[in-house]
Order: sequence, then structure tokens, then C-alpha cells
Amino acid sequence: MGQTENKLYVSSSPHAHGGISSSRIMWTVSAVLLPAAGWSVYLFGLSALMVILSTVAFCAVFEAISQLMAKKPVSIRDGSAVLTGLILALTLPPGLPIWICGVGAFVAIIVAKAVFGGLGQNPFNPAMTGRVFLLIAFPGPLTRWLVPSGTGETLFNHPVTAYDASGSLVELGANNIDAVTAATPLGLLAENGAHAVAALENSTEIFIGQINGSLGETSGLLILLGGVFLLARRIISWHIPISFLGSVALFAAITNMIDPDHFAGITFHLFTGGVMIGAWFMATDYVTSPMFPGGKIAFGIGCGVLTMVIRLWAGYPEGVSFAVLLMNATVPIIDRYTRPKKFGWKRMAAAAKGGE
Amino acid sequence: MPETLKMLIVLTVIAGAAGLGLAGMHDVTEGPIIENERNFTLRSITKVLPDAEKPDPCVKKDAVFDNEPMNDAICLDGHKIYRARKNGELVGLAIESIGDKAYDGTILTLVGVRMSDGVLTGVEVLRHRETPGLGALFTRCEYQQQMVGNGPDDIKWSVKKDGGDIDQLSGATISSRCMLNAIAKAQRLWRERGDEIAQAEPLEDSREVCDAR
Amino acid sequence: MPANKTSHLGELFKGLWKDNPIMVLLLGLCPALAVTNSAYNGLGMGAATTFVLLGSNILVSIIKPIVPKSVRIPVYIVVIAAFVTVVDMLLKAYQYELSRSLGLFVPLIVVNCIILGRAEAFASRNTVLRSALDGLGMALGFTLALFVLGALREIIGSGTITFFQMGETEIKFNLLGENYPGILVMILPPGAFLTLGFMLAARNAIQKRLDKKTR
Repeated sequence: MGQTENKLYVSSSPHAHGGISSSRIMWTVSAVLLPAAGWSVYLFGLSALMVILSTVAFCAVFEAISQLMAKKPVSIRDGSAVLTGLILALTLPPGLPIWICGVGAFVAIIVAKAVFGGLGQNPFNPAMTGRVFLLIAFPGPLTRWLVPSGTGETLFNHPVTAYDASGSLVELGANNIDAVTAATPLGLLAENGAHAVAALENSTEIFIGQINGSLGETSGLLILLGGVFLLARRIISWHIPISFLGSVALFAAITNMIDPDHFAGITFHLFTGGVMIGAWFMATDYVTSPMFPGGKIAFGIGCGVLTMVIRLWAGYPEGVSFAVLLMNATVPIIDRYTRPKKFGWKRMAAAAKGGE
Repeated sequence: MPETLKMLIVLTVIAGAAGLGLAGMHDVTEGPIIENERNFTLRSITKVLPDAEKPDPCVKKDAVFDNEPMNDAICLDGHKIYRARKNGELVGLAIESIGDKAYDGTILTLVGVRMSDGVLTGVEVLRHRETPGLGALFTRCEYQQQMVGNGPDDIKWSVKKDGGDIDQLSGATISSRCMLNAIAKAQRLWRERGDEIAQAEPLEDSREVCDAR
Repeated sequence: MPANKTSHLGELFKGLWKDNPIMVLLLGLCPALAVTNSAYNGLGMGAATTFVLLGSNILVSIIKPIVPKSVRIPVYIVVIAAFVTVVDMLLKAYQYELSRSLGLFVPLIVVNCIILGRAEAFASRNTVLRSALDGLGMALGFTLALFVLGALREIIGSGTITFFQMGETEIKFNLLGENYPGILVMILPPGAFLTLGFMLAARNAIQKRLDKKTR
């Protein structure tokens, strides 16, 4: 850590940007995510707030425990655990039982980060690892999506209620879980093909975010604004988000052109599911993404293509988290082949060869 | 040369001894193994064949028939059908039926149908690759309770999402539909080919596999 | 030829902790990860492997004087394959359900590195008694690791622990209550890798502490 003086390789370390501390970055990113989190609370009420608060709290607690166990200084205040918790929460469905949030936080902080040596050492994005673990461990609860109220009427007074498909308020219970849940747009697409989601295509609903889904995928717009803000503040570079979103868009455009009945279009794929939050906030994680511009672009394209392949042909309707994790695994190789050549490197290599 | 000869002899002797030992072992275990495999199939068949007026998939069955349904099997349209008889009359069928378009591939089920009125007497999933904890829940008897015990016209045999009477598994509508598809095929066989099924000659070797599998 | 420094008891116990095949040598991981979705499956796989390892170690050390060096590997394989086939037939005949849940992994014991490894590295150079003790110890260490792995996965994954299961009779304890929903992933393959990782870490941590004490 602490290569702040080396301004030549701006993107090569967590402390890349001229003296901004990593803790400052973590808190800024967290703050940028707050509007999207707030929007989900507005839509889903207490059921969303509980998921956010408990996931963040659990992450902070597990971070402290792991650091105490490793006899390292406790560094919750650097915000990295809070950010992990917030991102994880935004990928979870509203109304998820609190103890499941705890399991997710355990996997994200302990399994994906602490056992590899803590912040900076983890090969896989902690929040994504937590989400994928939960998705495989609790396929039922993780695919029960409440219908958003869409009216702004909050559920604070009725924490165990939700809206059913016809828009009336009903109490949550095991026997009516189908009434208050609905497949996400991506679920519909996987199940019934593009005609089932044709109405959503080009509608403002998916853009502003009144569709059901995990907390953070309801509002593509707020996430997009947050991402652009990070870009403007130079906390992230444009390479990963643009190549990620670009490859998703290109893939969607081509498949949609070949068979519009079967494949949905560009806006649908860009604004549903986790593509927005994935491209701006998950794939750009400093620790688990490539260091150099060329590598970043390759990484982003890999994420985008894998996401689309999983969405269109694999067993799960959404593929962002799997795609980001798979690409995380390729980062060391990507870094190796995209490392900028040192000055004079070629000549030295030639000399070395000649010497043999 | 003697070294080569020694190798030859040692290998031959050891392989021969191993072969002899295994042959002896085979004789000892052959009987129990065949018995076990038979029982395994038999258990699935008994599970779906009719026993009570109102069959319940969560209750263990021990129906006794005049014949051995296992040895009274026929092939029809690629379905393997086991027949159960009581008092000289055909009372129930256990029909191997494939559900198309599961979440992953197809599913193979054994569907029990009562001969007199077509009531579903049980459904046993023999092979599937659905998501554990989601689609795979259709193997649970609690889920099957809403189907078993109903005749083809008693309820609407499709999931609620498609306007029927069956609860789809939350998050796994496709698997639920697929199971109903397998049941529907068996019901169609019972309705349209009932006489044929009743009159067909049983297979010589009841372990034969019918081609649709 | 290794000098006979270790006591006979040492040969037996080294497989349990010091040279545990799963947790130290990291051999035989394929069955260890694949079949341990319940404690009973772990025990069953361990028992089958014990039979093969003990039998092949004894037989290999008996026949070692007459086996020419150049054909020793084929001879060992024939011996091991014969024992594996025997155990496969026995399971099918008397433990049908277990043999169904272990499936292909019973025949695959043939290629389990521990078995050929012990035959080649130990049984072919040591006395019958030592080989038997070595085989038994290694097999027990393997069984122990598989049992712990299976038990942990079963407890976290479905809240139960199963010691025996055959038809209607089963010895099964519900540790986490009837309403425990289960963490499915622990019973699926990823759970095996995670649990084994934590087991290795725990073993290393304990070993480190022991080393410190002795110093």
C-alpha cells in the first residue's frame, strides 16, 4: 500500500488518485449508492430498510471479528466493510430474512475476504461472492421478489405486508407468497421469451425503476447517475463500465436483430437486473479488477459477454454476479498480458535472447 | 529370457487368482443384488399404484395385488406401463412418462392411474436435473398432495399462472408445468388407449427398456 | 529402504493426524469432495476404502518377493481392482441404498491415489504387519476426514447428522431443530470445497500451536 507518490501508473493501486485515501473513496462510493438505496426503501418500505441495515451491520461486525482474530488493527472506519455490505444488500431481494443477510455478510467478509488476508488480498469481489453463495444456498428466498408499491405509499406501518399483483395490501405469509411476488422481468424473459416483456421495452418504468427485483436493480437511472458521478470525480475510470455496458448492448442488439420474438432489446438488457450496478460498482472494484487500461477493457467485455450468455442460455435468469466472479478469476492473467512495457524492455529482451 | 517368463507367469497367476476370487464372490452376491434391484423398482411402482379410495402421497403404501405388477409390464408408444390386477380385474397402471421442457432437459416420472376412473394415484420422479431447493421441490409429497387423488376432470390440470388449479412452485413454474405435462401424457394414454393397455400381452422380460426413455 | 525407526503403533497412528491422507497429503480428494454430503456417506466411503486399502496393502506385501520389478504396477492394479470389485459387489448386495448414493465413486476407488501410493511406497518395502498397520491407519485417517467433512456439511446443510441408514432403520439426529431451513449450498459441491478449506486451515492452526509448545 501507499504508492501515492508514483503518479505514472495512475490506475495501478487503491491509492491511485493523488492523495485521496482509500477510506475517502469507500465512503464516497457508499454515499453515491445511497439514493438508489433510498429509492428501494421508498418502493418496498421497511422490508428493504431491514435488509440494508442488517447486511451493513453484519458486515461491519464480521470485519471487526476477523481483524480481532487475526490480531490486526480493527479498521471498520475505512468504510470498506460498510461498502461491501451496502453493495451486497442492493443485490438482495426486499423482505429477505435477517439471518440470511447475516449468512451473506459472513461469506462476503470472512470467506471471500478475511481468509485471503483482508482488504487488498481477495481475488474475488466479496459482495458478489456473498450474493452467489446466497443464491445457491437459498434459491427459494433469493428468488421471491416482492411487487413494488410504485405509489410511494410506504410500508412502514405494516412491516409484514406487501402488495399483491392487483395492487392491494396483503399480509405476508407462507401461503400467499405467490400473490405478493412476481417474476422479475429477466425471469419472465427466461421463462416465456421476449414477447412477455415487450411492454416493458422502451418504457420509462424500467428506466426510472418501478420494476420488481433486488433492491438495487429497480432503479437503473439512480445507479447510472451515481456511476457518472464517480466517473466525474475520477474515482473510477471509464474503461470497465463502458466496455461492460457496450458489450451487453451490442450482444443484445445482435441477438434482437436475429430473432426479436425470442431475444429482448438493448434498453431492456441494460436496465434490468444487475447490469447497471454491476458495471459501475462491482466490476470496478479496485482490488479485483485489472490494473491497466487495456486489461480493463478486456475485463469489461468479458463481463458483458458472460452476463448475456448466462442470461440467454444458462440455468439462471440473471448472470451479472456470476460473470463478474468468473472474470475476477482471470484478472491475474489479464494483468500479466496487459502490463505496459517498461522503457527499453524490448531491447533488453532481445539482448537476453541473444545472450543465450 | 527367464525374467520375461517370470513376469508372464506372475501376472497370469495373479490375474487368474483375482478372476477366480471375483467369480466366487459374484456367485455369492448375485442373488441379493438382483433382489435389491427388483425391490428398488418395485418400491417406486407400489408407491404410485392405487390402494385407498382417496390416495395420499405422504402415506406409505402397502397395497397387495393378485399379480406381480413388476412382471406384468408392456410397452406402448415408448411408455413402459406396469399393470396391477385385483380379483381378476385390471385396477391400476403405473406409467413411465417423460415431462418435456423441464428447466434442465426432461424429467422421467412414474405416474399411477386408477383404471376405473383415471384418478391420479401417485407420481414418482425417477430422474430429473432441476435446481435443488427450487424446481426439485416437486418430488416432495406435500407438493404432490394437491394433484394426487384427483380424476382427470375433477380439477384443471395446469398451474394457476396458466389458469389451472395447481399451485406452481414459487420460482419454479417451469418445473411445475413439466411435471403436469408428464401426468397429462399418462392421462391421455389411459383415456384413449385404455382397452389396448388392458389387452396387450406382457413383455417377456419385464426389465426391458421402452424406447422413449 | 526406510529404516524401521517408527514403532508399530506409530505406523498405525501416523495416518490419523501427522500424515492424514486428506488433510496433509491431500490425496483422494475426488471421493472426499464428491460423496460427503452426509456423515453416513462419508463413513460408508471410508469403510469401503478401508477394506480395499487394508486388503491391498497386506496382499501386496505378501506377494512382493515374487513380483518382478518391471510388472509391479500392473500387478498392484490387478490386486486393487479385485478388492474394489469385491467391495462394490458387497455393497450392492447388502447395503444397496449406500451403494446407490455413492454411485460411481465406489468403482473409482481403483484410481484413488492413496491406495496405489501406499502399495508402491510402503507395502512393497515393508513387512506384512507394518503394511497392515500402515494401511489401516491411513484408511482410518481417510475415514475420519470424510466423516468430519460429511458431518459438518450435513449439520450446516440440513441440520441433521446421520450415522446409519438402511431401509427403515436409521440412526439420525436432528441437531438444529425441525424448522431449520437448511443451507443448500453446503450439500452441493461448492460446500465441500469450502468446508475442506476450513478443515485444512483448522488443522494447520492446531499443528502450529502444537509445534510452538514442543519447542
